[in-house]
Amino acid sequence: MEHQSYIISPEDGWIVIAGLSVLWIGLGYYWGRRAKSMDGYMLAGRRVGLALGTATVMATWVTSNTTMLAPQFALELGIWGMIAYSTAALGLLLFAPLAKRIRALMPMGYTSGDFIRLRYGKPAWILFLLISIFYGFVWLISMGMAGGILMNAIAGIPYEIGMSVILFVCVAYTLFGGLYAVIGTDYIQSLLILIGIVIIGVAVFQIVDFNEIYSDLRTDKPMLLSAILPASIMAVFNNLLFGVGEVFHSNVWWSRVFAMSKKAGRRAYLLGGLIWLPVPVAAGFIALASGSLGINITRPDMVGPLVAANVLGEAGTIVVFMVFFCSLASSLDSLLASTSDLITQDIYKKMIKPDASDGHLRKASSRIVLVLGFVAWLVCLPRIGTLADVLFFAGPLVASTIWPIATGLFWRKANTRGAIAGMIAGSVTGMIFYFTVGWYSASLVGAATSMIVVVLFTHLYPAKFDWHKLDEKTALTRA
Amino acid sequence: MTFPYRTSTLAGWQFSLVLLLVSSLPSVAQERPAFRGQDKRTTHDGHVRLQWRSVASDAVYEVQQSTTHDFKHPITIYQGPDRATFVSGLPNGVYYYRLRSNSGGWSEPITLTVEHYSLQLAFTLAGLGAVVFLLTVALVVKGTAKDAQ
Repeated sequence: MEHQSYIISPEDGWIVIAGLSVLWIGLGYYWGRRAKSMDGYMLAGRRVGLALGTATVMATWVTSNTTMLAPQFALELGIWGMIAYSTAALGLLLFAPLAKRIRALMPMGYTSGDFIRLRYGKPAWILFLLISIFYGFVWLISMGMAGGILMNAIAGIPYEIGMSVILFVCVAYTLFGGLYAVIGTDYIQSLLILIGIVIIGVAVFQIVDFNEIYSDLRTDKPMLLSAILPASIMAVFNNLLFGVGEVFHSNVWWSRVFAMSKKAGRRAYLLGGLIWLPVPVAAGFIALASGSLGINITRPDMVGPLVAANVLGEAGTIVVFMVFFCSLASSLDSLLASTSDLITQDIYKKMIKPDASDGHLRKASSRIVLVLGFVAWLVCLPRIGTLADVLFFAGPLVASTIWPIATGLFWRKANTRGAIAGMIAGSVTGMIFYFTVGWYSASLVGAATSMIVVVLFTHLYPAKFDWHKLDEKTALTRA
Repeated sequence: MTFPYRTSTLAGWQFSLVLLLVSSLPSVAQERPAFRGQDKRTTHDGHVRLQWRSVASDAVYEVQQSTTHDFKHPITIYQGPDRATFVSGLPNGVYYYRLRSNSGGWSEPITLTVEHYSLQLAFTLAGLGAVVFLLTVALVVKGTAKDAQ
């Protein structure tokens, strides 16, 4: 263990964890009773309104990546790093019009995989599933790791135990309640996150001296104030395109589109993006104060929790602990539910057991949640790399899906060859840049390559896609 | 202090006091602290994470940074019980780091070379990213407008 400076006692940490765990599992069980059909379990009955929709979008996007990675960005890349992280809001804002289009084209759709299969056919679908499941799993691992790191740094709870507890709690309530539980708990979690961030923000503004922070940064870390720090200049558009790729392709966001009522989707994504926008700036700023406050940072991904907890003292640390626990749980549950939906619908139902009943699928979905949780736990145990290392490895893969998805939704001429070639070429070139230049160029290069390839193939081999094919149930009835 | 471990760094006079007290005690053979990882490192983004091995469970460490090999004008960047520290925001140049615990001697120094990426590469990639983003926005806006019609 490299950090010996715990902020609260393990006993206090356990009390907070136990209280929140009982609350989430209890609510998951309560809301789960409403999920009687498969549509109810997977898509919360397809009637989620604007308030719940906005809350679940915002809470899911305020992940450990916002509360822990945004400060890491500021600490490593300075002012531009902070701005770079907040550009991820554009992913949600840009997805808002797509949400309306998706709901109109696929009124009874289930997953993002459904769209790729119906739009581009089986080979593109398999490639997309590989990318999407890999990304979902990497995100899940980064969340599990973040939970363990957080509990260890703040309360001295051993990493393995903290990580196991948060994974167990999220698996338990997702298992009981499906998307009903996920969206319901997201609502409460988003309120707790927002209240907590306001408390932390007010406290930091009262305690730190801005002139001193600026002066210390100029002396000790001058490049963090530089407007021409090369790595951070690259990171701005890299992070932006990574965020767009994450939202455009991931079933986390598509399942919410299918779960929301027709009118709520577009507005919920717009509002969620706008509410989320200032959060990484606020979270990132406090990292810049770490030097002036004399706080030693042993791991860059722990700078946010450590500074917030040190500024607020023991009582305030409990607020910090709750905010981080909520931000982790709200993303972990969404990932478990949406990745399980993707595997249940796209692999189990479509490839293994096409005649499976709703009851059978529900059982399969529960088992998949359990297996996902267990495998994530196994991979999290060795504590590989920092959060950024883990997460940004998937960057070029998801960025390569932006143009195949966007053109697939709006261009009749977009075709299978372009989608497959775009995803492969984007992923490969992005990976090459990941290993040769750094993570802050990988998504950017992946998205650019994919865009060029998709546009080229659309021009060379234009398709004439019939949009009605995307409404699978109606198409089947007609047939 | 309200909490036993709240403060992760020690003030200069506190550290000197610890060193004085320890040096006045009968000498106990203790391993000299050493950094983990390579002795010569290069970074393209101006940050580095320094880690070191523990020499004793209650050891207090001091890490110094200098721009000269002989540590003529060192800056203490960390004092305390942790076994790692993170340095960022460094301009181009060569930096030297050394470490000691309250048992005495300095470790062998390690060298960090900071070579930021060229601005030409940074602006080229950022420009490419801006083009991809603007074209994506145009695609979505145009598609949505057409859909509305």
